[in-house]
Order: sequence, then C-alpha cells, then structure tokens
Amino acid sequence: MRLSGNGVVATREAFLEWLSRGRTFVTETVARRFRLPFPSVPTPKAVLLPQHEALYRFFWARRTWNVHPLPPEGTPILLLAAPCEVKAVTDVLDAVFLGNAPQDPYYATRRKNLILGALGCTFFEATCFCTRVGGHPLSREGADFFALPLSSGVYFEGEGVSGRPLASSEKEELEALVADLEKTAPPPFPEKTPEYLYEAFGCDIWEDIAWGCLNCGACTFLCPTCFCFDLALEGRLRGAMIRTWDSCMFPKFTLHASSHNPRSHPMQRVRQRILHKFSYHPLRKGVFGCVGCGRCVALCPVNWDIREAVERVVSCAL
Amino acid sequence: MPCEGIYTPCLLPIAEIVEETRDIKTFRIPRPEHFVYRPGQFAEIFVPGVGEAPFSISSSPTEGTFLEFSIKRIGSVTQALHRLNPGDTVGLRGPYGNGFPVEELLGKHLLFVGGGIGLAPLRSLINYVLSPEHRLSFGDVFILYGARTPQDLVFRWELERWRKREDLTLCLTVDEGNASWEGRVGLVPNVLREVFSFPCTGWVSIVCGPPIMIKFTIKALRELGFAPGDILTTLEMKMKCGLGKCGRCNIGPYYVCQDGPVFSYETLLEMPEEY
Repeated sequence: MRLSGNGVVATREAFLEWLSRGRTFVTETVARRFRLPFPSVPTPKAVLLPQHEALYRFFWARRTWNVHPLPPEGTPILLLAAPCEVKAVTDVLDAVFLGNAPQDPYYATRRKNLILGALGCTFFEATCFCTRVGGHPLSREGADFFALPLSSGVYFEGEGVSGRPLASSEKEELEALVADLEKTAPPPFPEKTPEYLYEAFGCDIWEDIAWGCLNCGACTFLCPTCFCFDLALEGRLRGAMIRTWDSCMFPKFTLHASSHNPRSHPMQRVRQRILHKFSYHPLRKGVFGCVGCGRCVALCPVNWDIREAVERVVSCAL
Repeated sequence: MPCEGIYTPCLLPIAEIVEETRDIKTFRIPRPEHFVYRPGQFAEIFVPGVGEAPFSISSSPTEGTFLEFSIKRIGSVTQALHRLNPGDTVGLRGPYGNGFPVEELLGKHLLFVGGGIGLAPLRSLINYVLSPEHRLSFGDVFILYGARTPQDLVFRWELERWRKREDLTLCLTVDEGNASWEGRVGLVPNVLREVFSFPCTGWVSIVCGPPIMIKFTIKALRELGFAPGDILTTLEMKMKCGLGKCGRCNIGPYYVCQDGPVFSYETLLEMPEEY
C-alpha cells in the first residue's frame, strides 16, 4: 500500500471548506469522477505551462528596437489531481523545466505557487494504465497532500485538514479497496521496455502500428506530460515572442529551413512519440515519460491505443 | 540592452557585414561580456519583427571582443538578416551546445574536413588552434575544404591567410571548376583518400558539411583507419529554445541543442540510424 495509513478522516464538508479557502481547481479527470464545486483545468500542465504565453515584448520606438522581458508571474493555486497527473509533474515536467539547467523561470514561479494534491482513485477506468508505467491509483508520491473519499467521509494525509483517526471499519474499507485494486491492476510493462524499444527502432512493425493514426496531434495536447513547445514571433513593428504548445505529430515540427525534414513521414512521427515516452525519456531520466492516465486512449478520434502499440513493439523486439 | 531571462535576447548593432558568396554573408557583432563561448557552440539570433534561428559561431573565442556568424540565405530569418546593414539591430541569446571537446584534442594532430557553409563551425576551432596561445598545444593541422564551385568557397581571405602559414596544410577542392581554378576538382571524400596518405595514429578528424558529404567522408575516414571515437562531427536539427526544453531537437536519448551539436561518430553509431 502506497498510503502511510496514518492519515485522518475528515467530514466531506470540512474537506471542501479547507479546499475553498484559496483559488482551487480540479483536473478534468477529477471533475469527471467526483462532484466538486471547483472549476476544472485539463491537466496540471495547463497551469504550469499555459497553452499560450508571451515571454517578451518588442517594439520599434524613437528610431530603435526595444525588448522588454515579461517577468514570470504566479498566483497561489491549489490543484486537486489524480495521482498519475501528480506523477506527470514530478517525473516529467519538473525534470525538464527545473532539473535540466538552466531552470525555466516561468515554470519555476508557477510551480512554487502551486499546491498540488492527489485525489486517490478507487477503480481503474477501461483506459487507465498507471500501474503499467510505475504508478499506483493510491500513490501520494510527490503530492503536497493526499485525499480519498470513503463512505463515511474523506481520508486525508497532509497538513491543513483536521479529523479523527481511522475507525476499524474504515481501515477494513481501505484494505478492501487496496486488495480490489491489486486484483484489477494492469500488469507493468517489462522492466527492459526502454531498451527493447530502442532496439526495435528499425522494426518492420512501425508502419502497421502507425497506419491508423491520423497524426492529428490531439493526444499530445491532451497529454499531461507532453511538454514540447514552439516559440513564435507575433507582430512586426511591435509584438511579442509567444510560447505555445507544439506537437511532434505535426510535420512542421522538425522541418528545416532547407526544406529537409528528418521526420517527414507520419510513421516516423508516431515512432518518435512512442520512443520519446517509453525509451528516450526513460533512458535519460530513469522514469517513463508516460504516466498511464489514458486520456490519449479515451479521447483519440480513431481509437488508436498507445498501450497496444508499446506491447506490439516490445513483442517485436523480444 | 536587457538580457534578463533565459528567452530574452540582448540587442546589439551589427558592426560589419562581409559578402562571402552570392548567398552567404558573415555578420560581425560586438561580444557582450557575459557571452563566454567555446569553439563549436552556437547562438540564437533574433531579427526584430521576423523571428529567431540558431547559428553556429564562426569566430574563435581567442579573437577578442566580437562574434562572427556566417549565414546562408535560405529561410525567412536568414533572408531578413541578408537585408540588414551595418548598424542595424539584431538580438542574441547563448552560447548554447557542448562545443568541440578541446581538452580531449590537446596534443593530437587535427584533420579538418569541411564542405560548403560547414566550414563555419570548423573555422572557430581552426582559429582557436592556430592562435599563438594554443598552437603549441596541438600537433599537425590539415585542412581539406570543398565547395560546389570556386564562387561558393567561403572565407576566401581567411583561406589566403591559412595558405601563407607554414604550420598547416590547406587543400581546396571544388565539385566543378572553371577556367581560373587551379585547385583540385573532385568530391571531398574522394579527394580526402588521395591527399591524406599518412598513418592516422594520433590524428582526430573533425567533419562538418551537408549530411551527404558527412556520410561519405566518414566512410572514407573509416577506410583510412580512423576509429569511430576519433571522428567528430556536428548534427543539424530544427531548434527553438536552445535550452533542452522545447523538445524538437530530440534524437534518441539526446537533445542536439544541449548534448550536441558536436558528437563523436562512436555516439552516432549508437543513435537511431535515421531519426
């Protein structure tokens, strides 16, 4: 069990009152599962790396060009997310924007202002696969606090909410939940998956795997870990340098000015997306670049399934 | 001008522009004090109102208070750059990338093989090695440089300067000569096989040019007996941030903007063949 078990049980009202004291948001996944009176954001990524932001302004004035950096801003935000979405922040986004020098000041400021809570999951949806990539539905790792709805109230680990110790019936309820999750948990991908996939770069299977994919990029925008961005200039005599989300599914992502494109074929882009998450990022950082939230599987317009793709490539390499 | 933040360029006036060929110009700008670089590193150049793109630095850090970028007119940013005049403003961010492993090259004989605009990053290291303070730390220097036609050779005044030196061998070749061309005619890899006729013990080769030239030059170097670890080259990839964050220059477990652009052929062999 990932829980320490020494949390408290609070009433739902006390928990909601504590949450309501600041600017509180929930992720779409949390909003779908629990009726909570807070506005939703797609994933923590939307808070930490906005889809669109200006980094500096430039303008022509008094016969000279001027550049004005726009300082990072962050207001304190409390965000309630699923454990996999917390993992997306600590394993991937933090590693890229904070762990890789120099730190991104915009991300760092917002991260400092973010209180990130994990709301435990009581079941696996059909598209969930956090346990395949090293996560757990009851993990509190990396979260500032952990909450889990019980029949009698809300189980809470962390600081801020007071409650009473667990009653024996609640302990039993927790144990039963853990046992039930154990039974239904999707099994992990093989330990050497990053190495297998690396070896399988030249495998024939990629064409077949990528065949159904539209290369629409929806998955990369839904993904809580996809961090790739574009820097583009807006305006001519005055304007700003804008950072926007970008996607490795788009042919222009790697198009050189010389018109050479190392990933001009849709298959190469699908392969890059899978290998970056399941091979390159793990080989570099020691953790999968995918947290198994299943949003890309659930919301893909053509039901393209990344779990199946990884399984097929692994079996090709074995 | 402001240089705060990792994405904001500092604005600098262009000091001088040299026309190298019909589509290549060298831009000289003052070097800001904080901008301390090594040969082989690159910088992001910002053209106000147009955009930003990465360019390798073609000057050597031993040359003092300016930076040079040799830029071929090819996309929107480079076209805008080519329309600028001395005194006009550009923005600068950097330096980025690993640069050449200068410490590992100490005491080695150096074989430089350049093609076209690929001489730009090599020139930074060549002039570093040839500078009075470093020349004695390195062995022999052999430079093979090729371009499509005699008109496409860049740094012609620099080539003259190198030719006059007695502590290096300079060999020029073109794919297609003309009436006044007295140098060699032939593709770089083929000329390399002809002119580099000594044992390669103690030599390291540094190769830069168009991908197809790099590919066949490495093949020739392998035939001449160079070990994969003794061949250095630079990779090109579309880049935006230069800071290992925007994700687009990812190849295998590497980000070209941080782990590169200089890679040994040994490392390239472990990378996915085509990315």
